[in-house]
Amino acid sequence: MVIVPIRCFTCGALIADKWDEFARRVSSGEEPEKVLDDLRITRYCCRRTLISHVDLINEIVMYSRKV
Amino acid sequence: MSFNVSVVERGDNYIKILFDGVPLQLVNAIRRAALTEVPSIAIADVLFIDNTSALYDEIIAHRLGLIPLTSDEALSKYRLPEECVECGEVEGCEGCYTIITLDVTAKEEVTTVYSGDLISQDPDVRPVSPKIPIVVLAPGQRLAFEARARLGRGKEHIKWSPATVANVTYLAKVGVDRSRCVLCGKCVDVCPRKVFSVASNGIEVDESKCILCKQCVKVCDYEAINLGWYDDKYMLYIESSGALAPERIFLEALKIIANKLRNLYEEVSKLGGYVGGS
Ligand SMILES: [Zn+2]
Ligand SMILES: [Zn+2]
Repeated sequence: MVIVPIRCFTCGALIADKWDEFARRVSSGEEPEKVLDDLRITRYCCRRTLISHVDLINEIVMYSRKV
Repeated sequence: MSFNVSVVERGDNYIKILFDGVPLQLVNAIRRAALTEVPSIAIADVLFIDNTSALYDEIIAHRLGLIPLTSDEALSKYRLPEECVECGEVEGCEGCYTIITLDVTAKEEVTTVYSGDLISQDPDVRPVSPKIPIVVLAPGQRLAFEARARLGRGKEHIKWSPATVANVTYLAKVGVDRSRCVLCGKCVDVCPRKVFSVASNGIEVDESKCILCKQCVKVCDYEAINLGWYDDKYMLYIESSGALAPERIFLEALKIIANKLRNLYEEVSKLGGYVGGS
């Protein structure tokens, strides 16, 4: 996905508000499993949505329409 | 009819209610009403003033719609879409909509626009979390829009559903036949929910953890385990998106069902003839 989905595709739970913390903690070397538990994301549908997300927006943001 | 309803668990965004002696059809009606009938407020249309971001207007509008907005006060403040049809859809129709605006321009660095940047005309209607990313802007890019939020129901679009998850489950009944059990401990090892444990006087069972996967029945060589469920006990689980408190969703669902039944009764009464009961 280009930008983190607001809700889980499967169950509809709000997950986007947890993305920043998840990304920050995982990139600083923490175990994703533990971070997801801490954020109280319990269902595996929501867990896969966050864990499999690649934030491509930061790659394409500079190449968008001329301003 | 005697019945018992009790709250088993209340988390920050969910509620677990045990029904004893209530027909499954009724519990399921509450579940369905929680998902599709209980109204909440969400962004319905967006008027873009400027969008030079990497995402299309449609994608941003869709993302905005999915942001849960606090609806506790809104339910009594705003008119439902059914009532709005009668008000004739005057431009901006007073009492049907609230306006939410946003205007962010990225200056020197890449900026993420968050739900916290949304400015709502009505302080009671605001995003449930200020940390939801809407879009990322490169230096010089701008996002500005005016959005209208209104009440709606989950049957129109799921963004209006105040409950993300609502399910009804059976309650497991796990019996161990002590005359057959040889305490081999296979069920203790295989159970993913750790329902079984070995005690001095035989296998001990904690039914409340059981998810009815039947692994224990398969693994037991002595057919000592009886697995079933209670006929008249159901667990209702409602998880909120944050728009309404979970117990509020439950109560609103009950009100809606009661209203529908009352309407049905009145309509049937009009047909004349005998309508029993009261
Ligand atoms: Zn999910
Ligand atoms: Zn109206």
